[in-house]
Amino acid sequence: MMEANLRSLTDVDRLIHEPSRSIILAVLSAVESADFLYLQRETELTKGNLSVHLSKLEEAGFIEIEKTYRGKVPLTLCKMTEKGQEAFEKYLNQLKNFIEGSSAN
Amino acid sequence: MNPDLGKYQERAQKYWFMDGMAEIGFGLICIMLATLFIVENSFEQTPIRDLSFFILAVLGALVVRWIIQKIKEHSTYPRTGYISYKKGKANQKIVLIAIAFTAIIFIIQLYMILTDSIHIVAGPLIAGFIFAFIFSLFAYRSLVYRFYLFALLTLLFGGILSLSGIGDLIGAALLAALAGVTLIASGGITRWTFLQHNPLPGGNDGS
Repeated sequence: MMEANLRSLTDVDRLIHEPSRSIILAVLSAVESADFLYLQRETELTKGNLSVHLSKLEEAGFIEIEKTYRGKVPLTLCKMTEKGQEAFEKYLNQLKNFIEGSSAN
Repeated sequence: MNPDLGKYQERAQKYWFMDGMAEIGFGLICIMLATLFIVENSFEQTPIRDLSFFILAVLGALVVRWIIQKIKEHSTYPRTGYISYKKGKANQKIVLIAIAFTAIIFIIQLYMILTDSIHIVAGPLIAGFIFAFIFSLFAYRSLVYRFYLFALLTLLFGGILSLSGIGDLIGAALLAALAGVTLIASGGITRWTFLQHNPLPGGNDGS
């Protein structure tokens, strides 16, 4: 029982399970889109690190990144894809099941 | 262990209200309504007067919204970033609730006309209900719970002003002015705190 519970945790998507990436997806799951600055403040990452994490999520098809301008100011908008939404919900369910399983044991 | 993800989702939901501009904007709309109620009171009641009042109120609200958006673009988003919200099921639910509420207000007014009880000074109470409803929607949507307190206060003041017999439009004007001043003060404090804690970062978004 305990072993099965632990195994359910090892099945989680490692790409999402990294703390900064899970924060990015949590934010994007609650909104239509968020810009680079907002995500940087929430994750407390450097610009370079955040760019790397965003690229990984984009490569996995979990988010879309749009580079645009607001007036003359460059703006990078991030938006969660349907695939990303499904993967994130699955991840949250797996975490929830693990926590419930742990407290039952 | 991973961070409390719910906290980040909640903060994103509250973000529109975090800089105080939404409160200040709604406060300005309330002051504008109070002014319009007073002006309206000095004219004889005609359908043209009521229609003009309605059009002016809507136009005024749109202008205030536009100004707030511009201030956010120049002062808030460069400090803490930009978020756009989903126009999905949550908004549809709010729109449905708003339609139901408007229908209830119309039914009450129709009932008062049909039963010839229009002489009752119910204007401030109805205005109180409307303000309380809008504040509750704000609180529900933004998870900023002080709006529930504002809702309770406007309902209470609406009832008191109705009982005082001060008059429909003057009572509604007083209520709108009180709500406006409270919102501008509350929004002003929020704005000041926001600006103190979030200085302008240098450079662009760096991506």
